[in-house]
Amino acid sequence: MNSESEPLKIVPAAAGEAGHYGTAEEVEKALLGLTDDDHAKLLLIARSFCKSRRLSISVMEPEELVAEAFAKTLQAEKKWNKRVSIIRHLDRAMENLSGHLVRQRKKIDAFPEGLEPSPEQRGPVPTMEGTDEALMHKEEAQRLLKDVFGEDTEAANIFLLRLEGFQAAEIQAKITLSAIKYEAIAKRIRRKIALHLIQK
Amino acid sequence: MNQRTDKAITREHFHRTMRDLLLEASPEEFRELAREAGLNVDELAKTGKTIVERVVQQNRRSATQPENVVVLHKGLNTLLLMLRRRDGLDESKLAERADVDEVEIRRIESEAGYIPHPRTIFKLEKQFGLPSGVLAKLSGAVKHNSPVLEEKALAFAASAQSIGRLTRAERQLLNEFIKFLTEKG
Repeated sequence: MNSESEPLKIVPAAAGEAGHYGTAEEVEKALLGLTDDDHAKLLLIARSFCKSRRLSISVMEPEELVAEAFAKTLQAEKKWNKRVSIIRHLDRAMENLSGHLVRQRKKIDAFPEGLEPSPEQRGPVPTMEGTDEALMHKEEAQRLLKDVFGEDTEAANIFLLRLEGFQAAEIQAKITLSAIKYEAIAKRIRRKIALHLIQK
Repeated sequence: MNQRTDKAITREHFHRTMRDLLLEASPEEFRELAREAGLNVDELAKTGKTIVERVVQQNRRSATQPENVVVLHKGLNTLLLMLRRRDGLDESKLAERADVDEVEIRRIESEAGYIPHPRTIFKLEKQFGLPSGVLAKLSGAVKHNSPVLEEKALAFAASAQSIGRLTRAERQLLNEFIKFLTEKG
């Protein structure tokens, strides 16, 4: 297990929290210290954002999305909370940036050139339906699980526990799994996720 | 399948959990996964490193630029982007029509500290039918001593969207800014 398996907690900024944010020098050092694998993971994730959110057509390429996340972090527009690893921070920054572009595009598509939304029109648009923030129907969740994990129910069930916020040790205790067995399943899960992200 | 999917799940949460798990892969494991999936980690890493080095250099340059130059460049970035949107041109089409480098267009639009070549500015002014010197004022090629220009450039940059066709309000904003640059800037 590496440091990435620590639970991620998003803590809202508050008075006295300033020390938790990386300074300009710390951010630069962290970005320049990204390893080859970190870069590859970030680009893989950026590709999946661009594909799944259909950004690659004249909006943003994966390389630009990564560059934007670096730039916004350096400029402190996306502040890096040092309690979160830099790579996970960059993942969330890309999620946020690509989500913003999607929302912007939806707004533009809803109100074409020259047609300003009236106050009545502004009300129901945008809706959460069809967005990433929308709750998934049970069938959709099942379909997605099947897409990623196929018939591997063991992997899917552990993934669902992670989805519910349980961490590795808690899952092992909850379903009485040895650490070795858990790690073997976790490896299978990561393999299936990597394949899913590359293909989708 | 007996997975429990009764609880409320969002797509965002689902995908986040997938990515979090992927990020947990050790370097060795990730290389193995990538190999299986036909990904070239070294190639991706090379691209990533080039990007990070470029962005860090830009950021250092911007940090040492006088504040007013950065402000004007923000106005230039936005102006170029809006002109492109007005005419329905993507970067490559604009590059082709104006006979300039596409990379340079991307850099002008995304880097506040980037100083474009005078030829590029000249060609772009011609392409968009702008009076001579309108873009040059914002590029820093023409010296000025007008705090009003900086104020206008900053306000213009702050009020624009970044994608899609121009709305009526944006078109009006664009026309007013060009008029200001032509007459007073």
